[in-house]
Amino acid sequence: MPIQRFYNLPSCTLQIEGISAEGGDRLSILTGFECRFHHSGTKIVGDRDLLENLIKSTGRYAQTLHDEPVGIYNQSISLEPVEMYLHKLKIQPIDNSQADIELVEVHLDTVQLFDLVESIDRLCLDPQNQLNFSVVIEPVVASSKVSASVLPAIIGVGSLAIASAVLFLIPTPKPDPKPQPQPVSLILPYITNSEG
Amino acid sequence: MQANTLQTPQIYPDLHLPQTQGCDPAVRIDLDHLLLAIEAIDLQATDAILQLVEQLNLSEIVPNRVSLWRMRNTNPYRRNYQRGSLSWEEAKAFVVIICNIARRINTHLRLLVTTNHQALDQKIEVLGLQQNLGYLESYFQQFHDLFLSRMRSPSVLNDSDIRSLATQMLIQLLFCSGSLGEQRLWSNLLGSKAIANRN
Repeated sequence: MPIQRFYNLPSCTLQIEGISAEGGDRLSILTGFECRFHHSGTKIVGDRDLLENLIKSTGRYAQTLHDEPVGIYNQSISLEPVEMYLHKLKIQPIDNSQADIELVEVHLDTVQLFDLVESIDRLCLDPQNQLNFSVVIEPVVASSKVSASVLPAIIGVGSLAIASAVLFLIPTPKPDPKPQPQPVSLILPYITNSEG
Repeated sequence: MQANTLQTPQIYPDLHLPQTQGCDPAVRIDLDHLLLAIEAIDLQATDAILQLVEQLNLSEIVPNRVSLWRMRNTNPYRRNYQRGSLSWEEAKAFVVIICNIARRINTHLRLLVTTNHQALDQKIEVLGLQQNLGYLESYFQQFHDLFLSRMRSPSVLNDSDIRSLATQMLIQLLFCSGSLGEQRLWSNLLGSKAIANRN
C-alpha cells in the first residue's frame, strides 16, 4: 500500500510517496516526490535521485546565504542568485538517461527559498521515514565582513594596550544608555507561555 | 495517505565543540550581531533570553544578567570590550538561544524579510503595506541605534554598512529558525561540516 507524506510550508509543499519494506508505517522505499511552489504553481516531479540532488543543492546553497550567495550546480539542478534576494532554481536533464526529468525554472525570494530548505530538512528529520537521507551542511568560510576589514586595526590597538601599564587598570563597565522601552515585548509572551 | 508528525527540534542539539581554547573573534562578533538583531526586533529581548536560559537549563553557562553582559562583551568591537574570551560551550549556548528565539518569532522574521524585498522592488505603496514598512524601518533604526551605542566609537561601519548588516542578520535569523537552525549556524560559525540524519 503506497504511503504519502506531506511537508507543508507557507510557500511550498513537498510530497513524497513510497512504500514500506516491512509492511508497517515507515516509508522506506521512495517511489517519487513532488515539490509545488504556491506563488507560481510550478512543480518539480521526480524520483529518488532527483530528490537527493535537490537536498544536496538546497542545503549547500542555504549555507552560502551566510555571506554572498554563490551558485550551486549539481548535475541536473542549478541554484544561483539572480539579483539581490532573488534566486533561480533550474532543473533540466543533462543527458538522455534523464529524459524523464522535466525542465523547471522557478524564481524564489529568500523566504520562499527558506521554505524549500525547511520542507527538505523536515523530510530528512522525519522519524517516520527510513530513507537514509542526510542533510550535509557545508559552510562557506566563516568570516565577518567587519572582521576582515578592521581586525588588523584591532590587533594594533591591542598591542598598544599591552604595552601600556594602563591596561591593568581595567575600567569599570559603564552602563549602556537605557534604550526607550517598548510597551509590549514581542518575544517574552512566547517564552512565558511555553512550557519549556 | 498519512499525515506526517513533525519532530520538534532538539532543545540542546549535539554540536561538535572544537578543542581550541575559546572562540575566534569572528565567531564572537557574529553571535553578538545576531543577538543585537534580536534586541532590535524586541528591546526586551534580554529579559526573554534570561527566561529562556532557565527553560533550556543553561543557567550553569549563563547564570545571570551580568554574565550575559560579559559574554556579549567578548565582541572586540564592543565599547566595553575587555579582552575577555568566549568558551565554545558559551558560544554553543548562544547558538541554542538565538535559534530558539528565532523559531518563536519566525512569522515576524518572514514579514521583515519579505517587506525588505517589497521595499527594494518599490511595491510597498502599490500593495498598501506601509504598516509593514513601518515595522521594518523601526527594526533598522533600532539596530542602528543599538549598534552605535554598544560598539566602539568611532563606528567601524557607516550607516549604509550598518543597514546592510541588519539586513544580513535578518536573513541569518530566518534560517536559524529552521529545524536545523543550530547546525546551520554552528557550521557557518566554525567553518565545519555537519551531517544531520534522523531517519
